[in-house]
Amino acid sequence: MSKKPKPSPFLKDIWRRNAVAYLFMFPSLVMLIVFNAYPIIFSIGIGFTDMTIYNITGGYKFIGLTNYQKLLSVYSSQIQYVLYKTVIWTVTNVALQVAVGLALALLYNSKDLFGKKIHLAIVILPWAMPGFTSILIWYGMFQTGFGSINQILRTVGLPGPNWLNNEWLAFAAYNITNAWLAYPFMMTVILGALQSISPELYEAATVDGAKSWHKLRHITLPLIKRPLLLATLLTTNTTFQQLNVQYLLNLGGPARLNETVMVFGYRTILTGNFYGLASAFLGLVLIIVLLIGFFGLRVSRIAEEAK
Amino acid sequence: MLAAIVIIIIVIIAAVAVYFYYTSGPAPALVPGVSVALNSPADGASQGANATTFTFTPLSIDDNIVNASLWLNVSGTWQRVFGLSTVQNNTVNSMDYTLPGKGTYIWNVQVFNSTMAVFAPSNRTLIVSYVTGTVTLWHGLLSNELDAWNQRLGNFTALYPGITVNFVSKASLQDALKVAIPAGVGPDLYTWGAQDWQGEFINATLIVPIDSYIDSATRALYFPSALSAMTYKGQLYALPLGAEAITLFYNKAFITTPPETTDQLVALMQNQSSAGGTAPYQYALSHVTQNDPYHCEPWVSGFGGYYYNDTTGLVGLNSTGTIAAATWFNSTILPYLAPDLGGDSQRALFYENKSAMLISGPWSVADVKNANISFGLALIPKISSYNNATPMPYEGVKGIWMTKNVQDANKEAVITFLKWWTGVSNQIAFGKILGWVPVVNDAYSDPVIQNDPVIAGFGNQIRYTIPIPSSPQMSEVWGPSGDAWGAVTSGAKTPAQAFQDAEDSVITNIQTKYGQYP
Repeated sequence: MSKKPKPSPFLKDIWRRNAVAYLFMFPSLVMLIVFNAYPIIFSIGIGFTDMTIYNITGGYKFIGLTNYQKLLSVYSSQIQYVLYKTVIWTVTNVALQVAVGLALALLYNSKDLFGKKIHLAIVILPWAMPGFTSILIWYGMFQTGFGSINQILRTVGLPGPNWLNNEWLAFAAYNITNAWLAYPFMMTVILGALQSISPELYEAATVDGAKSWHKLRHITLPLIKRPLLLATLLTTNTTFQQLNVQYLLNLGGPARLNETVMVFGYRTILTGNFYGLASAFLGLVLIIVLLIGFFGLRVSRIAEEAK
Repeated sequence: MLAAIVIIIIVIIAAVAVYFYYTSGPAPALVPGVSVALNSPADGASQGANATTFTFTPLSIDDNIVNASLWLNVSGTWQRVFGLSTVQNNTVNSMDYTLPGKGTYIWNVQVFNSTMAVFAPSNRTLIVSYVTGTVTLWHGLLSNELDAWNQRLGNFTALYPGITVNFVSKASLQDALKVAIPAGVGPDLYTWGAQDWQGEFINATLIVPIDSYIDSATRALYFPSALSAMTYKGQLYALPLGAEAITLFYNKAFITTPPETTDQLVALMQNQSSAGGTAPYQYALSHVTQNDPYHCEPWVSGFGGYYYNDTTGLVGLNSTGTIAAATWFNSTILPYLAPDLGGDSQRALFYENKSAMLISGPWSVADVKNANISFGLALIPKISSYNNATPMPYEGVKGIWMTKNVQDANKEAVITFLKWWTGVSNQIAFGKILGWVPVVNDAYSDPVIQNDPVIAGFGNQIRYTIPIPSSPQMSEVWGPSGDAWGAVTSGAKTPAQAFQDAEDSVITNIQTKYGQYP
């Protein structure tokens, strides 16, 4: 007790303890700054300038919020419409993805399934295929005359509708296509969570006389809630920003009725190389996505606490 | 007296005879004379290459020319540079010799017969003068196209040995040019399959006009429509290499005489089996329609409408002609088309012998041939209900543009390359090798081009086209005009409403982005 160590400042202490770690992190940190942080900050910055292809080498100037103001005044009614459509799209499609993913995960978690590994490999294929190719295949399947979906419908005596020429049928086509593209992610996450649940819990429940519905409701769902919420949050963001499905199936049509935020931006704002305006639009999308993320995290935290 | 004069004359003659008899040697043998005349190059000729063919005509009395030599006077000293061992008497002989480089040469030909050698009586002068420089051209050519280009490059460098040409392939050419040219590291020239970027590149001053380098004789070589496609606000920016437009393909198994008017077309449609007719084909016509303003444009132009006018800057989506075309199409043509109006579906019907005709461009030729369809090409039918007006499809013109990165020292080389590469011989070659449709008048007098039904067919249609607008504002027009056609054909809106909405949308976008309309 004779030599009392001098209390070191808090930050200095942290630095000393972690100096080696920071050293090892340094290269990847540089990469992150150069390839992630800088481009994002730069493109947000462009949103406050009048940069176009015509003045990109010099001569563009800071114009404050003019681009944002233009977007929100000139395109306000269109942005309202596409936001409404995007919200419906995101909610229905994420719900569909969770339902399909959960159902398949529960199925493949069962021990009695024959040839489970082969099944899993096949079921996960949509994830491995390039989205562009799969969407064009779906496009062919949704054709009125020779699309395979309508051929199947006709064999059971139903009339084959013109899927991509009707607002809500096209919307359904988007949902089917995107659910097919995206369910493997949801399924993989849930399956991973399911496999970490101790089988003893189910055995105990069986002893207590619980039905399978009760087991699902009171053991499975609470235990996979956390990864499920996280995966849902991630999927919500990617679904919100989905462009390929709508664009490749029918350009967000017919008659622009199914344009979502990104389709509208791509077809109307991003044309003509007006970089300032385009960046401001992407800035707006970023704000929306951050809001979704923020509220999503809040919701999941509340859900955690409620446990 | 008279007798004395006669005697004196006789004596003089005798004396002269005696003098000649004693002064001359023994009677000489006949001398076999030889001479040579120079044929080409002409005296004072100037040429742009090192490789030269010298021609001459020797003449020998004994009909025995042993050999001939080419002599050159290079910087003051005569040198024998080339020998020819088999020489034909009294005909034109030639010697191929590659001169060492640029300069002025004095030349002559020496010919030997069995006993003597002679030069032509006077020397000739030959000037070798050619352009030197390096030409860099960026492209996005397919591999078979690049092969043809490299093959033709051999012909070019033989003629212009001082010009080095580099073809550089760029995966996304437009973006590469947008980045490189402002930074000063772009190419001298670039080639692209259509003029549609032109206006944007001109507004951004990435490319420069070439009017001052192209004389009226050169301009007269090309189709006027092709040159007008390369012209923006009165200035010429490129020379055309070939053109594309849609035209009418017909399956000869179904159609013997292609329809010249829409009335004849509708008669064929009414007879199609899907409309309850007796014809062996399910559909008379395949017509890409869904969200596709490009394939629908011929009708718009036929009715006097337009999408966008480069010169006035006006949007014509709600013009009387455009709406009339959409209304007519919706009631007259659409009911007879297959329900899937997308490109792949419509084309597939023709490839599968389910439809008898197809409106499409050169990109469909390979597929049609692969489907073993015996086909012909015809003009898009005239519009019966509108004074037999001729539909004018959009014309996309391949060409070579000059960027602002071209150096003054290289300019002559660049222009020399540009003119030769888009010239008659190259367009004929690309027509034969690649099937490109030439846009120089003289190419069509070549028998191979003339007898190629595909090239001649597209060549016919290209005479009745209008260039695709090349203003940057056009990029605001494509989307909404496609939406309007989609809304009309799906029944979501009336033609008037659909095209009015599209007009409003385009004008809003142009005003917001460019700050003014028109």
